[in-house]
Amino acid sequence: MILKKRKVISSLALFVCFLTALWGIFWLSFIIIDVLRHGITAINPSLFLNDPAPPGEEGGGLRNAFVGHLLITVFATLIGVPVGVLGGTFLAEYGRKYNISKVISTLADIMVSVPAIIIGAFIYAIIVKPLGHFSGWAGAIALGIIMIPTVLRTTENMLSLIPWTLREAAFALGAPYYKVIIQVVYRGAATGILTGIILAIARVTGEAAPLLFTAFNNNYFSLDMSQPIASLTVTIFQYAMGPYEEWHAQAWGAALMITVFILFATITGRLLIKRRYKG
Amino acid sequence: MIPEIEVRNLNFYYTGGVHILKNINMTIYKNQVTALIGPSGCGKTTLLRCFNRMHDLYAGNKYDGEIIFQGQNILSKDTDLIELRSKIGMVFQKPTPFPMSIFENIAYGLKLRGIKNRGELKSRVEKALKDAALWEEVKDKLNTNAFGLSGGQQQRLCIARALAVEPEIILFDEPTSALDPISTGKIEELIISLKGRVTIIIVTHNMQQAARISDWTGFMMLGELIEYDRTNKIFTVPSNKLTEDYITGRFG
Amino acid sequence: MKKQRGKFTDIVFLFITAITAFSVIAISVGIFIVLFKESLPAITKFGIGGFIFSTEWNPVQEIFGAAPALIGTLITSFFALLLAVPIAIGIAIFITEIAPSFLKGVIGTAIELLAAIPSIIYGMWGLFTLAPIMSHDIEPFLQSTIGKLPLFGKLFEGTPLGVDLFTASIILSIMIIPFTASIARDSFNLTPSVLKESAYAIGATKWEVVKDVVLPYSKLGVLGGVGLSLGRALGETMAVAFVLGNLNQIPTSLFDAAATVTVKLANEFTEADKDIYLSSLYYLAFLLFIMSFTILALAKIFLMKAERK
Repeated sequence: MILKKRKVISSLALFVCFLTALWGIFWLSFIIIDVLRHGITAINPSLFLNDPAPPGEEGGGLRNAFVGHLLITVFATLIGVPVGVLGGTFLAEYGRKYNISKVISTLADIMVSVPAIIIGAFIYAIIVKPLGHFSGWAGAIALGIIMIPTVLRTTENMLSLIPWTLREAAFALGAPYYKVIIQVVYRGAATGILTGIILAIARVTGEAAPLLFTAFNNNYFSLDMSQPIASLTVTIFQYAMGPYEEWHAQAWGAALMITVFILFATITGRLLIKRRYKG
Repeated sequence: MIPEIEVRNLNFYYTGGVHILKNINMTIYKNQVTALIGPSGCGKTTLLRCFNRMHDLYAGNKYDGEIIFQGQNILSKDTDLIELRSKIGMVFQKPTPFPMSIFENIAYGLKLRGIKNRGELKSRVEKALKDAALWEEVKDKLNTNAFGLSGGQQQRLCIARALAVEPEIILFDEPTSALDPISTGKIEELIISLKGRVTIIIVTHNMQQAARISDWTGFMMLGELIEYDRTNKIFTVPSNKLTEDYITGRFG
Repeated sequence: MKKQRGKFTDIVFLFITAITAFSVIAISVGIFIVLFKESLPAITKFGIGGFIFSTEWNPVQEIFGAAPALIGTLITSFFALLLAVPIAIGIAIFITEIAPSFLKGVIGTAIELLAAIPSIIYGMWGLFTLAPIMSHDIEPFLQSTIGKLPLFGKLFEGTPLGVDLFTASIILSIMIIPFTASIARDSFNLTPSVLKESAYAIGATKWEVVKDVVLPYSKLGVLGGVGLSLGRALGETMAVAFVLGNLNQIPTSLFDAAATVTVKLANEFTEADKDIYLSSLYYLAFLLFIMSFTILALAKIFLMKAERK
């Protein structure tokens, strides 16, 4: 009797756990389908080829925001990736035996989750205010700073997975440490580091908060990183909160492009790591 | 000599069809100590884990044959595993106290069986701890966390936990391999003291231990039960050459 | 000669990597100092208690107080956690203990994708899709059911507009489920399988093993995961910016519009035309930084303890 009751309780509890999993999947599909449904109708050539038109006029697009977003992300990557990879190298290699490395690594773990908008406020104070104007550079630096801790921690972890004996074997051939790292350790950890970079790019691609008061926005096409520059995410914020139907439609279109890119990058990253470390 | 378990033509396969146990036949007698010995990888732990169907926790394992216990084939699909495991207890290689107090560790199995009366719980916990020769050491700290005990004490706690629910059989999977010689001695004494009250099946890679505490010994190699007989016979006049080589230390 | 050059390059490489590693410290300390420096005028003018407990936010008269924004941040985060944590733990249990291996991968990936969706998408979807559903269906329904209860009903008063604390908390909860779930999953996986086996061995059911062994064993890790999610929730900007209304008032009902620290920053930072206005916003950012940093650090300590066990 008791046994039966216990079994029923167990099955019920496990069923509730199954429902929670469904709950997660429900929201994921809800959001993705919704973005897809609204976004797909807004996708047309003019979205990519034209710059914004005044509200009420037909045929406006977001070319400026696509290009601006790309520029900011590329420069952010050029800042965040080298610093992150080299920093992670220090923690896993030269600095391995020092306590300070543990401190940096813990600090980086915390910085990964520090509100992105704080980084925006920080960059505003040290770059935008002294220069007197918003700029693409400020946005790229803000996103670059956000990338550093993620890339650094993944690099550190991936390098630590390389067996120490492999390094010893290289040392035994008389190679200096930097050559051991570059020619042996990096090669072994390349897939893992690449995955970390892809995931970090995916993350900053979706950031809007740190761009609000760094890169700001620009209604015109611009390639000048020293001036305010448009980004998809800030444009989405502005357009979605605005009063015009065609703005909303374009915001959905931009949202779809960003979501597709990020999901694609995330899945690629996961598959890469799976193939490398489980296969 | 009353048979407790009949193993008939038992075969066992891991994921992917790896043949681990090959046609095992043996009778395990009630309230006796049966030891399973053999070189590592011979399948002795795998066999032990068949008796309480521990393998069912992991996907892809497959049994074939019969293990008859209390008139039923416990390998059949209808076997209630929870009921089976409450009749056949198990003690593992490393001590495995639950993350709770000493008292709760012992009372846990009793509570699962619906015993809620505080007085009864207390007396049965005390009895189990006394049976496991641990009572004197822990009676003043029953409500402290079980992780605070030494390794040997933790292992006796696990034995007490198994005893508390009054099982018919207790399976021991190399229970002393993680312990120092003094703790090992205590566990061995404990097992000997349980003889006649509960059926014990113990896997050990320590041949002296098998000789000291068991009534019956099964020698296994490469998934086969090479020889199974009374312990004194196995260790004095083994009938199989392989057994003789193993117990005289020629391999293993 | 050649050896000498190798050694020199090695030192240069060491030096470069060390600098980049230390940049993490420089950035963290830099943020602290810069935020503090920028908020100094507001700190001097309003003090600490005078800022934190004041409800006034008046750019015209240049009087600023943080109470509504802080309370909005705490309420949304609290309700988001309340909704997210049980579900996240359920998901983690499902993935680690119940799901057959092919489902494990599918659900694990789905949850990770949920984490990958940027917050601006959550926010926009919340505004255009979730908020109308909330205001038409869910909130009136809640008002006509739970809202009728004494005391508890107070939380559900007001016109259900859908742009309110309730909608914001729900979106926030969906966003943090993946963080909590993935850390809970990792903590559950740290439970030694032999410990679970010994619970099964005395005849425990699967749920009893989870409840009595896995959960107690991994509570430090789960707690760390909850802390991490709280840190995230406090600092989340875009997901709530769309659906909270940025209204500077102390909310009395879950169906009130409100503001959070992040929403205030996002909406007003570029509009702050006076130094004291901007400085007050920096003061808010500074408080947010200290709050989330402290919580994240505590969570990290819990997680490190859990791993060491």
